[in-house]
Amino acid sequence: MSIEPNLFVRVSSIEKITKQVKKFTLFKETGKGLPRFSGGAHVSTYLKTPSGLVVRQYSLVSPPDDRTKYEIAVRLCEDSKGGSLYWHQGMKVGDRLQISYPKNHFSLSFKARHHVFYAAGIGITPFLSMMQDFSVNGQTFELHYASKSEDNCAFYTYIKKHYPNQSHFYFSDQQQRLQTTSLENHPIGTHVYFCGPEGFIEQFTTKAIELGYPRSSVHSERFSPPKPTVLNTFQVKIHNGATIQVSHTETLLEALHKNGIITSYSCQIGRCGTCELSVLEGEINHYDSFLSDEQKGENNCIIACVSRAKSDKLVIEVK
Amino acid sequence: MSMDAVFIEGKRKYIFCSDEHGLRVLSSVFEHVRKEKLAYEWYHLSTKTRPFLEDFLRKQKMGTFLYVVLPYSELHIVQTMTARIGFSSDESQFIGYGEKWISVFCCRCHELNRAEEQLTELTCIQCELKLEVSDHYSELHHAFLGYPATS
Amino acid sequence: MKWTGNLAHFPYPFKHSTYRYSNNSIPMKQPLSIEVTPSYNNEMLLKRKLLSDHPERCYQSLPHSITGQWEIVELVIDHLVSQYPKDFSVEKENTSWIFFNKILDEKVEFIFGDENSLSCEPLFFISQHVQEDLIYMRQRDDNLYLDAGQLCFPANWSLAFNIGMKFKNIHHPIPGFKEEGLDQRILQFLMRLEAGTPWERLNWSLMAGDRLDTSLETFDQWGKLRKHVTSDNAGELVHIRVEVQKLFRLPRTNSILFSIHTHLLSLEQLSTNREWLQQFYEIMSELPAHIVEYKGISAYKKAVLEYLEGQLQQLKTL
Repeated sequence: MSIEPNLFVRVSSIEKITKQVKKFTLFKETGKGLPRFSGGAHVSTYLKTPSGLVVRQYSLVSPPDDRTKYEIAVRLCEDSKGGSLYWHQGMKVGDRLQISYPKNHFSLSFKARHHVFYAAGIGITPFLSMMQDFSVNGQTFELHYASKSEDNCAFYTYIKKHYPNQSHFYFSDQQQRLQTTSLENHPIGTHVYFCGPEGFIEQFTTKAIELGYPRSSVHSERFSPPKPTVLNTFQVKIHNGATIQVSHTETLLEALHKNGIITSYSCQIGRCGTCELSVLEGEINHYDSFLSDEQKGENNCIIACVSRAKSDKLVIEVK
Repeated sequence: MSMDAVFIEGKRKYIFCSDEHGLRVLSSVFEHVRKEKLAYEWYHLSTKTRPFLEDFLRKQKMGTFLYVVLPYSELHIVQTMTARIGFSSDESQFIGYGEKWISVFCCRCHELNRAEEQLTELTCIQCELKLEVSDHYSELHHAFLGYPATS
Repeated sequence: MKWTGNLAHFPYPFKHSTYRYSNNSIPMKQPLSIEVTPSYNNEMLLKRKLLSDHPERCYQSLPHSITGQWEIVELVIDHLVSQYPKDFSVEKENTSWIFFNKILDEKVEFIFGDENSLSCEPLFFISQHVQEDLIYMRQRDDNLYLDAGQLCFPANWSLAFNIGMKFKNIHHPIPGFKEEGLDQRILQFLMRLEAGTPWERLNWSLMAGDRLDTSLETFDQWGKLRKHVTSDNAGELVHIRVEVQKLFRLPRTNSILFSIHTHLLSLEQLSTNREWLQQFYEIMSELPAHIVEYKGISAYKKAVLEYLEGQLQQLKTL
């Protein structure tokens, strides 16, 4: 399987910004500067932890045009499966690591007249670069940021200083609650953006749709799941044809070709969709980044170069 | 642009914006809105009220759905204005009536030629090239592409 | 302007003995958006003349594309300098840049990010130094829009008409492209392109003549040659036209750069390669009517097939 090209960086400083949040500054050791990025972008970080390779995504909080450094803010999760734990306890100044190029699935709408950002906890991170990146062509924005307390509010001072008129804070220890009713009075042409715990995103998204916001005006940031490390053996029956075995060391695509069933393919890394095949029976574990969530949910097609069966067997159609 | 108004459910408020003729076009959707006891507002378009339309629309909140019925000759300007205010295609419907004129973009000299909707061939007023009107439409130019006629 | 280099290096586009529209993109082994070939000087002369004589036809841009244009300048200069260090170099002192084109003996001084420091738009400036056509597709509101472009050698389309258009709409005139949601899939694929992983693909068509500038605007100048093709002159007159397209994610504006490098090969030259001759003949024989029609081959398909048959016959008698 091909590995995506990465950037090689080094930790130049670690700053504790709240009890649970640390900010890490990364710089590129050799070659050209780091790529510029757009507001809302994130990188995947590849962590070589004692228990194996862990991949985690973090929003970039540094200035988008600064090619000398990247900054990320990591909150230590109570039930960390290794990612934030490693960042907080394992990472030291001078340590090297690999990160991906910046990616963005949470960018500012171009046509919106007004943007409203809703952040809960560490969900504030993507909004920092978005607010920095704001191109002023008549567009306006406001930020609503909920946190346990002022002490726990990462980047509180920074935000209050740079965006005093646009930012609103809600501290639970002061009985201030960020309510979904906040969505009721935004003017036509507003786009809303949510980032925070899953429940927070669910709650606000549901309310926005209930109020009649078009789906395309509602945005939320979730990070894509890491690449799978578990590979299983499964059977595949070709409709009106043979049954083949796919071992844990090969992809469905490879197994088909090995058995003389030549199907189309192009990129072989789950991105272009050319090797897509219809699935008539069986459940699928999708590992591609081509099909939409909706298409994946329909469970009737598979990207053969990376995806695998969830069940023991699949019945597929090869044209 | 559609021929009939289609009711879109799940909105907090419905705005009906039309002239006298449009009342009929919107009547069935309006009846539905009234029956379901949904919030609505009428903006009767006339030469007197037209200048205040933009301000009225700017005051609307997210969750509003806008219906506009006007003669084709006036519809596009209003459409451009509502898009500028922030009404997306998921939040508005525009229904035209009467004479419909289209623009044809000359592939050779880029001139915009005015033509009747059903026209399939015309001669460019600028460079005199015989053009075949295609169905390739540009929102930016608000025009259809005219290819060199194959004759 | 036909292919003059080694035939083995020609970007031959066919894999199978039939051809249909598909997403035939593959990851690039070497991430370069541009390529300097032996015809650089000739093509740059032609390009600059076109840009100067017909700016409205060859260059279009929307006001908000400027940041993306600067990204393209940065990327292209980076590639020129790293791949062709003897021919191109750049000196940077903060935002003051000096770009040297040693092939054409030119020097351009400017302030990166400052439009006023250049005599034209950033994309227009860098286009003057590369053979490729450069198209900027901005990713905005879950779609791709053609927001800027420099296009001197289009295969029968109009940049002036298509400026500002959405991806699917740009491809609206291609019959068969919407089938089975191919246009949606390609759009999805493009929107998921990532920085650091550029892709390339080949696009092909056939043409009568070897003119690079086959814009829609000038159809009446080059289109009529289609009527002059015979099985006798097809070898010399008809050319296969291949576009090498490279796709780069531009992370600052989250947009895409399409660079298009057009190459022409006469049927005569193509026929000197046995495998290509055989394969191309099979493809042409089987090509569905709607593709033949769209690629403008209808008027001379018969003559081409007769020519290819003739060439194949000659091989058999050897």
